[in-house]
Amino acid sequence: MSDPNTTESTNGISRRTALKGVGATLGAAAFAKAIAPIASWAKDQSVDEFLQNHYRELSPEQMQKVIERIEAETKEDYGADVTIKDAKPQAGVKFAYALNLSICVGCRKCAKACHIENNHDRPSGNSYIRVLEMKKGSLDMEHGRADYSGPVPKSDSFYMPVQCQQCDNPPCVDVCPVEATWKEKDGIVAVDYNWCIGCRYCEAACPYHARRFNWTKPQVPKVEITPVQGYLSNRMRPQGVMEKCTFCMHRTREGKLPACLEACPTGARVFGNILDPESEIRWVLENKRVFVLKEELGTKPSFYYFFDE
Amino acid sequence: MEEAMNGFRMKNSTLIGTLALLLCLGVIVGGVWVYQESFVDFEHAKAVEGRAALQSEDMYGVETLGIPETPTVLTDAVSYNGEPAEVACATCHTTREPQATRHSEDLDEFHQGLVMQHGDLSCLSCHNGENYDTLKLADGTEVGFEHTMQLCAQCHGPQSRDYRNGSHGGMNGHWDLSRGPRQRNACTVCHDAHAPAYPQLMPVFPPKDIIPPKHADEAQH
Repeated sequence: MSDPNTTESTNGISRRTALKGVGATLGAAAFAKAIAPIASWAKDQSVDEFLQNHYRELSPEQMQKVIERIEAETKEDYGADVTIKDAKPQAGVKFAYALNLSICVGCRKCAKACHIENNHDRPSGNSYIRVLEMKKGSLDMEHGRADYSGPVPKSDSFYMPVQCQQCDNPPCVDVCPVEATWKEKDGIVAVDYNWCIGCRYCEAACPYHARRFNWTKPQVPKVEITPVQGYLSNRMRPQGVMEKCTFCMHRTREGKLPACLEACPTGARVFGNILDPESEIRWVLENKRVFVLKEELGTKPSFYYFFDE
Repeated sequence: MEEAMNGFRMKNSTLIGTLALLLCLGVIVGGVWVYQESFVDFEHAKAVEGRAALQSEDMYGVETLGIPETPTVLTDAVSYNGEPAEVACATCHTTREPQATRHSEDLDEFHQGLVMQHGDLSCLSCHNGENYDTLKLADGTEVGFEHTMQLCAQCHGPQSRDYRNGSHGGMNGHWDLSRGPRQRNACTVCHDAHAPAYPQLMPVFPPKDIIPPKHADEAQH
């Protein structure tokens, strides 16, 4: 009975076959576990979206299809009828922004306007603008407080709103491993929300803390959704992607002023085309003592600050 | 045989030399191309034809909102069609002597509650004692209420200069006036002429801490 040649006939299953079976079962289980994320991913991402090309490689026809799909998705997810445009940079236009710290009162109306205009997540109160309360005598933005309260402006403080500086040498673009963010011809640093993988390298690289991450799918009530949307700016973002201030690209590329500027009650904000010698922004750059934040980093911001003399 | 080998070696080395030269040339040409490519965006942005096109279009205007009108005073009287009657400033002031006072408490008939916190100015610094339906400049020139901003600019030159150059006072509309109009505020929209300091206000929209969701079923990125 101990003859190995007779084992198979008596037990029916050899040790080798049993091990093979166990191995195959474990392998199948591991494979099933490994592809499980695909099953859950498929619930909220269409095949079209998965196969969508990079923004800069989309043909106009493809772009049209993508826009129609996103409009339909917004209708399905939020119940809102929105119009998404893909406004292109204008020739001869490079945007720049200046902010007068002498007349900013710190009311945070710009941050609120941004929140509404750009369809930010309501529960988290997200905004591309962070207003820092700074003690007079220091320009160290790391000592600024964003969570100030009470009547403003306080006599010992000045107020410095900080948003994306649209750097001409943007560190966030350099670190993106998938080129999901880049510099547009009019100076705006854009993000393709459908190409971003959400690694947040750019958030870490930005010295101005200007980038935001969509921890959740943005929750916005249907009636509060801004219906005029831009593909690269204020359309509804998916969960898990980066976003940032685009100088309200969907407005400014149509010639309009950004939402934060319109909300400013004191006129501390100046916006315009830096290539137009007659523009207000050029007047500020030529006649005020402007400075940029963290100049020593060499990021070359398109956002300037100044005090009145 | 050796000569032939030598010839071959020379040819071989010439070949390598030529290849190396070509490689260098390639690197230089490529480098110049990459260098020039890096300025393409800049050149594109500087393109003159684009700018010329923008400027050749019709320009929209800048409208100033809230320019003061000649004020009237609401009275208890009712006009013949039942509406409350408004009277011009001159209605009362033509029969009264102008008073060069700085404080509304000095007045015994009207304007007592008026808060006056505007430097050392007296009523007659801006109001025209000879015709109260108008204002007067520092040199005595009579100007209508619609020219209030000219009056303000006499003392507040830097602010007026900044305003005229678009860096003081809120605005709405278009940065690009070839594509749409712009609306601006007159001085008195934000600054009370009698107490012009911009008031303290309560900030809106306090920031919230961002707390990432803890449950894995919500995080599907």
